[in-house]
Amino acid sequence: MNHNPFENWIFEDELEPGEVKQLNAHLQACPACKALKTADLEAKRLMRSASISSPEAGFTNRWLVFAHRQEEQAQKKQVAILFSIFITLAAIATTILITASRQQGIEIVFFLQSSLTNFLHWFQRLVITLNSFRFVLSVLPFRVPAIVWIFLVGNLGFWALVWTFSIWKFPSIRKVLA
Amino acid sequence: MTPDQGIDSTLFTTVVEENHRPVFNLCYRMLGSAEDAEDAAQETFWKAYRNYHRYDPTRPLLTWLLAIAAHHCIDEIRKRRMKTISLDAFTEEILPDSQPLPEHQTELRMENEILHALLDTLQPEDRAAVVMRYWYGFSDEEISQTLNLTVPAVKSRLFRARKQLATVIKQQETNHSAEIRRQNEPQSI
Ligand SMILES: [Zn+2]
Repeated sequence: MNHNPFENWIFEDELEPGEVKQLNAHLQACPACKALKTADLEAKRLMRSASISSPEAGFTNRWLVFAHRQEEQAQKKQVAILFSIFITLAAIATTILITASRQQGIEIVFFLQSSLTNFLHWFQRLVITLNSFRFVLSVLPFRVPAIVWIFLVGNLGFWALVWTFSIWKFPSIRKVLA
Repeated sequence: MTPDQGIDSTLFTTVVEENHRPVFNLCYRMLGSAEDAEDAAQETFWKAYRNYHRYDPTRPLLTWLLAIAAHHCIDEIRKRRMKTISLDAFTEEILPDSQPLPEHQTELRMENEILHALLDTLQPEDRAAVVMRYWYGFSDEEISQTLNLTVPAVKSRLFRARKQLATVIKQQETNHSAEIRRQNEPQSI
């Protein structure tokens, strides 16, 4: 016997009245589909008869203990990260102090100083750019056609690429190293 | 209480107190054990507490909590790659307790176990959709919002889940009938 489409209709909630009639007629004649329908009803019965289960009493208190433990762990993790950063920096500084000559030491200090200045300079420009971009977004009309968005995003991507390339090729780093 | 940058954990206990039962139940129906459900529910409230500033107060708080719980449980199931327990294996596992339970309680417990073994045969997202539909009466739209799915995707998942559950029950019935027939057949010497 061909069970199609009846074996799917059994699980459809939105059947046309004509389809319901056809399905019922098939169920009368087909033991396999009838068994499937009975199984579907049994699954529903099992789920509907299962109540909302509750945890053991005192869940909220247990959660408070859990939350405090999580907070403590998060704090410990933060302290561990800061400590390892400090240790790493201290180790680098000690190594430089021990191994570098006076001239090399001065060059390194200049390099670090210049890198930091450059980083701050570029970070400042990034913030200004992001802010002006946000301003442009806020004054743009509410519905902009998709093609304009594609153009804008494409352009932004291109300039981001140029920007990254210029940082990579930034000459002052080489100047300091020379 | 309105969501802001942070919320005191003691204040948040009101949220826990009012919602822990449905959240626990979802985790229990998703993971199948009370112990795992307890851990998952604790984690759910912890995540909710940490991300309370992201809660959109125009949506019901419980829906938001259930969404966190469902995603957490889906991840848990994936992580553990829980082995699908067949109903055959399961029926052998049900052993009488050391302390005998009243008959109706034993029956309830068995039904619960059968139900969880059945739900175990579903994919995690399908299972979450089924739990939301049958225990919380969520509409297709509500399930779609909670599980970040489209409404047609929810419909298709529910359809697939129902068919899967019925097929497993039908198969089980067939095996059971065959077993009875075998036992009743006269044994040849
Ligand atoms: Zn049929």
